[in-house]
Amino acid sequence: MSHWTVARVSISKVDRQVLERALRALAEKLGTSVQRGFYVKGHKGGKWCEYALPANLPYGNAYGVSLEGGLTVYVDDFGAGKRGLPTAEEFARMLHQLYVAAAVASAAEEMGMKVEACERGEGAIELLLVR
Amino acid sequence: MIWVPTTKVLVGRDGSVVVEGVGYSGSECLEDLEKLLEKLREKGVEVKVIAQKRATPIPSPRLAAGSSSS
Repeated sequence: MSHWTVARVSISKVDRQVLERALRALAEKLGTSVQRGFYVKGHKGGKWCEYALPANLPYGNAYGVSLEGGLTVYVDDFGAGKRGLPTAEEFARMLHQLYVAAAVASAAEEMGMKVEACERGEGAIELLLVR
Repeated sequence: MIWVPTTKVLVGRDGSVVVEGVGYSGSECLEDLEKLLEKLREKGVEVKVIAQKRATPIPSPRLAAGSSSS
């Protein structure tokens, strides 16, 4: 028997454990690591961020993530696309997708399920939750 | 073949999800889905179901006498 469910997803409040899991997955994709309490520099000025993923950006040093006033990404992304790095918008999209995937995996583990994850075509992430 | 109850979740680029339960019997599939959605709500992920359907069971293949496979 098979049931299909299609759903839209929004994040109403951020769970730190889920966020950290998503950030680790995103750091792995970008070939970097997750830093805590990091000063994210841009061409002019910067911002202390709770989390950051250092990157060799043309005018910045990292993608910063802050929880102040909701989940926010800080980065000077000018020219980022030319180095194969995501723009701020693309980074935020990837983080949203990975947050949802991390939340599903965490929820399934709490239900006693075994989780297997793999990338699918067109950038989708498939999770197999096995009882 | 032994079917292990499995919930497949496909998370799209935009964060939308498609969920399929396979190998379940009765209403277990929807019960697991409900539990999963409740856990996701606890983690701040609000899920709005926009379509849901129950797939028709696949009929058992018939064996044709004298057939051969290539």
